[in-house]
Amino acid sequence: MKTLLTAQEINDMISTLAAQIVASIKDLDEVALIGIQPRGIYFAKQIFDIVQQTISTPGPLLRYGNIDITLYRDDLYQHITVPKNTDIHFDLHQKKIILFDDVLFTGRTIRAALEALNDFGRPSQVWLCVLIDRSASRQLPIQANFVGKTLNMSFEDKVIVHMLNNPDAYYVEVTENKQEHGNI
Amino acid sequence: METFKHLISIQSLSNETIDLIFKTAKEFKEILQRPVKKVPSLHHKTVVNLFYENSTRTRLSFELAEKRLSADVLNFTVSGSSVAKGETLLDTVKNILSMKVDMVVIRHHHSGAPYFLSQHISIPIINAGDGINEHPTQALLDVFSIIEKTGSIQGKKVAIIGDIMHSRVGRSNIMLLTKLGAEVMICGPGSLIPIGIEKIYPVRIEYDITKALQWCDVANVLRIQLERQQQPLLSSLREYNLQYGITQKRMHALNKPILILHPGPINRGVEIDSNVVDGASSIVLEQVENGVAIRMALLYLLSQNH
Repeated sequence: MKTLLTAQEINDMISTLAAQIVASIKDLDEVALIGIQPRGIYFAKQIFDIVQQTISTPGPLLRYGNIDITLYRDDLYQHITVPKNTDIHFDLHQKKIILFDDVLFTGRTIRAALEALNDFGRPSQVWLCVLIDRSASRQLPIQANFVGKTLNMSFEDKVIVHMLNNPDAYYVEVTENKQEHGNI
Repeated sequence: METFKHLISIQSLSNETIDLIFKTAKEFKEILQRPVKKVPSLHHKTVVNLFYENSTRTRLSFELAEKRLSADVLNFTVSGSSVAKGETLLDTVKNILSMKVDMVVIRHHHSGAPYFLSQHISIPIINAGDGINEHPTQALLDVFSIIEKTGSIQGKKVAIIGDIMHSRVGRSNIMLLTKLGAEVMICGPGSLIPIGIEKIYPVRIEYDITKALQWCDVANVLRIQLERQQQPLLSSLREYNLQYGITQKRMHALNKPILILHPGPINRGVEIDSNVVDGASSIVLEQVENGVAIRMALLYLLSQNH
């Protein structure tokens, strides 16, 4: 395993993404930031806090929530996992949603998240913001609107994002399959 | 993730599994508050509900839980089935399973019927109440409701009041509550308390309802099951209400709040008065709501075993 991104690099990336979001989206009143469990929720909350500080006071009512896609996975028939918390306390109807996840890999998590979102209402638009885009490994026609870093690694390589409550402890590790045999 | 193959008895559940069931149910309860109260998790499964005995809440609760998880549902009741023509339980089930069913929910008037089935078929079985033996999903939803209301179960004083003798709800509750560290008292007329029960389970017995209510934090009031009594065990329902009924007067006499549970169906004016059932202490409707979440959790967790 080698470290791909340090805490400083990740936090700089998050600040840049927050600035891009503020610059490109009008009517923040109609916007909701939703993090995908487990790591996307920390990512989304951090962006939410930065955007809140950036916008004027009293600013638009920006909303924040988190969503768990476990029950919408397309491989549940193979193995099941215990669902995590979903917390969306507002109607998504006609809202502009920005979904947050740490890594965009095959696209299957995002497909599941889009299906889950529909159970809370019909958003007018959904954007996707990811820290890392593994663009070469996509299995579904899904792409992100805001990307921190694009990686052109093979499908078998591993990218592990360490992202919990403390932004100072963030880091991203990668393992290339050629170097560590069997670690798929 | 810890696995369990069937839910036949509370006895066979480890504390870790119970915790897993409660955690999962908590997340499923959130689904029931959404605009669309349905997830696609079991869209690839078919569940059969075999009800050899009357049921309103449990049958509807299981059916709703299955449908909320997008499972296909087959409902079987004895009336109108080949059971009346003499078909055995095992033959009925084997015939249904040959139609490629993935899970069985069974309620049966004979104690041990779900266990018997589990010895003969390989798919997950959920006991929805067997005779006077157990009703594990009711106990799980009762304890889940107590924890939701009070924060924990460890050390709570729970009085189970009424017809202990014929109550599968009482038996499963005693097992689950004591397993999770609650103190349990059973209270009722001597004719409705099994002799020697305190030697089997760590429970205390109280024959005085006033003392039981003063002692407890939670009272789980059981239905008087006249249909299961082979011989008269009570002089009259009126007398039972006078001696053991949870009345407004008895509730007012307490110097503390307690939670009131009842598994339903309720005999209003017998084991509990209407104004207590409908009062602030009662969580009977929360129990019904939590029942769906608990059963969704069990169906979901057991679905991985087939």
